[in-house]
Amino acid sequence: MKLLSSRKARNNLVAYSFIAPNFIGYLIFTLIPVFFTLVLSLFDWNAGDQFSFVGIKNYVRMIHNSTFKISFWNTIYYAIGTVPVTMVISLGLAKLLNAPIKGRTAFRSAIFFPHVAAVVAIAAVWNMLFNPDMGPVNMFLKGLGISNPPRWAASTDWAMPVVILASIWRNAGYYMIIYLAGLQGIPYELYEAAKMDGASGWQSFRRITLPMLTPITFFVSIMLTISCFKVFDLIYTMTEGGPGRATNVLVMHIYQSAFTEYKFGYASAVATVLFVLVLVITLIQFRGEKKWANNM
Amino acid sequence: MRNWKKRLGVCVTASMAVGLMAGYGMTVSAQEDWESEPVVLTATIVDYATCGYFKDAMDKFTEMHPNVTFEPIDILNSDYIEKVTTMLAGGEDIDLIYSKNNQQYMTLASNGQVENLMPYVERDNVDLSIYDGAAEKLTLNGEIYGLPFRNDLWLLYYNKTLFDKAGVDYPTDDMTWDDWAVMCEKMTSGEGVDKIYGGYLQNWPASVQNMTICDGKHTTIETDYSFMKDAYERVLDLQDKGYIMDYSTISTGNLHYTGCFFNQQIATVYQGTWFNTYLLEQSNAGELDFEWSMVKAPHTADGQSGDAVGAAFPMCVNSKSKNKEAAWQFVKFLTSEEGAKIIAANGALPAVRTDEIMDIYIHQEGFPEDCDSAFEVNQISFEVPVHEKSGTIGTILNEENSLIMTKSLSVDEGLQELTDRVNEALNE
Repeated sequence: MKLLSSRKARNNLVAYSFIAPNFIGYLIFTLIPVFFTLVLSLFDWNAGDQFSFVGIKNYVRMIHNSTFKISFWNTIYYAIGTVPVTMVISLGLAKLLNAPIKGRTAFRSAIFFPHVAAVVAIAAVWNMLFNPDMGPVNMFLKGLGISNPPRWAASTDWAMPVVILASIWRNAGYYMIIYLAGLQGIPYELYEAAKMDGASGWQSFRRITLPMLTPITFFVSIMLTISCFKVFDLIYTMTEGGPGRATNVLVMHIYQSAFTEYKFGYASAVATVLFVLVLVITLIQFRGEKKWANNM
Repeated sequence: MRNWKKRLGVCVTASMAVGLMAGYGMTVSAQEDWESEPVVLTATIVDYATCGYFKDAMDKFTEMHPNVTFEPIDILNSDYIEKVTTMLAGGEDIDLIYSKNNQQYMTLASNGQVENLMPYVERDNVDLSIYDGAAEKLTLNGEIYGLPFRNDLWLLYYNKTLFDKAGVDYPTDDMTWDDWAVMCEKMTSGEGVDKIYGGYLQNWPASVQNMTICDGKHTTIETDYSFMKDAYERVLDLQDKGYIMDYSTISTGNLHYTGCFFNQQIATVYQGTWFNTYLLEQSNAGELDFEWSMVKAPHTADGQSGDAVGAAFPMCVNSKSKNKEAAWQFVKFLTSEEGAKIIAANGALPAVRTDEIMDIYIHQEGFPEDCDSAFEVNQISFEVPVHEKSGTIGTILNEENSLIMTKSLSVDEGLQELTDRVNEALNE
């Protein structure tokens, strides 16, 4: 008995030693900072020596801060605009490029490419395409007879749709690869059986492909939602949150509060709210996935 | 238990005493002996590699005081504030801090992260009047936390060759903003890729807002911004008529005044004297096939020639530095006439501008002739004044400027929103 338990302890020790390097890194660079952020959100700190405890004052300030409200709704707008469309497009692309068509490797690479391209380059190219005066998009629209085309990134109404479009283009390829992996994991026999039973292409897709892809869809939806709530780089390089605050999102608000206004306590409070928001959405998705999977 | 309380009492009393000493002990001891032991001064510098004057000034200082050597930390302009904030919060050993803008200066000072230099100034009888008013603008409640080594001015740069071709008189030192608007109209020509714009304003709030504060009657931190109306209307009108490049085109195209000026797409550009560094570099490399020059920036209708907007860059001493005396001695040297000569010789406009120093600055290789008068200042305002809310208000000024310039809001609506938001920030 003793021998067994010491062997077990040794096995555990070996297992822990494997986990340790990663876990220590996670602890130092993620867990402790997250905990520190929570604590910091209850203090006033502007990167100097003095911390003053202010309780929930930073959260009260946040509720009354017009930029917080605007960036909160902008983040939701960006996520709603990005997540469903990216999912549909990446699934559609995956389905298309899963079929044995000529040059599919080249197509797959071309569609995946935006994901590895530098975000600064992406922002420059999209801004050029949608330049209100000299951009090819507006040239084309003018050619079609539209005399007053949208001013895109220079307009408060159109700046966010342009950013969403760029984001979909950038992300679709990556999620297409994930969907492709999922599609290739579906046994071919299922399609064969459906075909023999007289199922149409759409019926096969609806009754076989979609249910079989549920775990992948769930994974994609969570990853995409989280990435949407964390968006910063694309917006910072494309519009810097402007015009005005039209594309200002929560992470941008955190960045500005911390590094332009030196309100680290307040910025931590916003970061905490963002963390809770992502957590709640992920929990809802988890619950939804369980129900969805059971009903299928 | 009683023992514990006693200890706590002693600790509290001791910490209060230390606090009082720290708070009120504002005099510095007579000059310490800082020249006997070897000292390495660490300095955080914006783009150290590209501004030669820091290296030259440090080398010169080491030559004068061989025990002092330097360890500059070269930080990219775009990363500077984040990096310095993080380094200071992490307690890194830094002696000298270059303050990049007034927001940073204000934060460093109010956080107590930089040393109050007033006691040193008084002890060593440093004359603060040599900085042409910049030192007064950096003074907070009678204390100063950094001395200015550079004080850039906003000027009007122009392409002489384009003016010659168009047969239009060159800009002068005594022009109003309305004169400039007329000049922009005269100098605009061509269509499409061949178009030459009469004027260019970079998509920064300062490009328009400076026009409203140059006479010193207002600053960019006010409780009512209706005084900016004329300037915005003038600029939007010029933009609508195509006499200056459109704000949206500049923003979405990531255009920069340097490229537009070098490619001869613009006849005049309102910019700071930091532009000279690029111009001289290009000019001396033989890259420019046109002549250029500069005059004083235009002034308001009831202002006068020499009303200027500037940006001072102070050098500060970390309040936690172990080598405060040596660091102060370097600040004193860098911001002295001798330091200014080194700065001027490297193409940057120093804060101390005697005739001798300006002679060095103006007679650099590649510098245009007959522009000495452009640097004579009548009064100087800061883009954003030193204020405890300058960071927050700077962001608001930028956001509302973009709304007005992209016509997302009318001038009146934009200025009203600006007024409301700044008041909200001031009352927070």
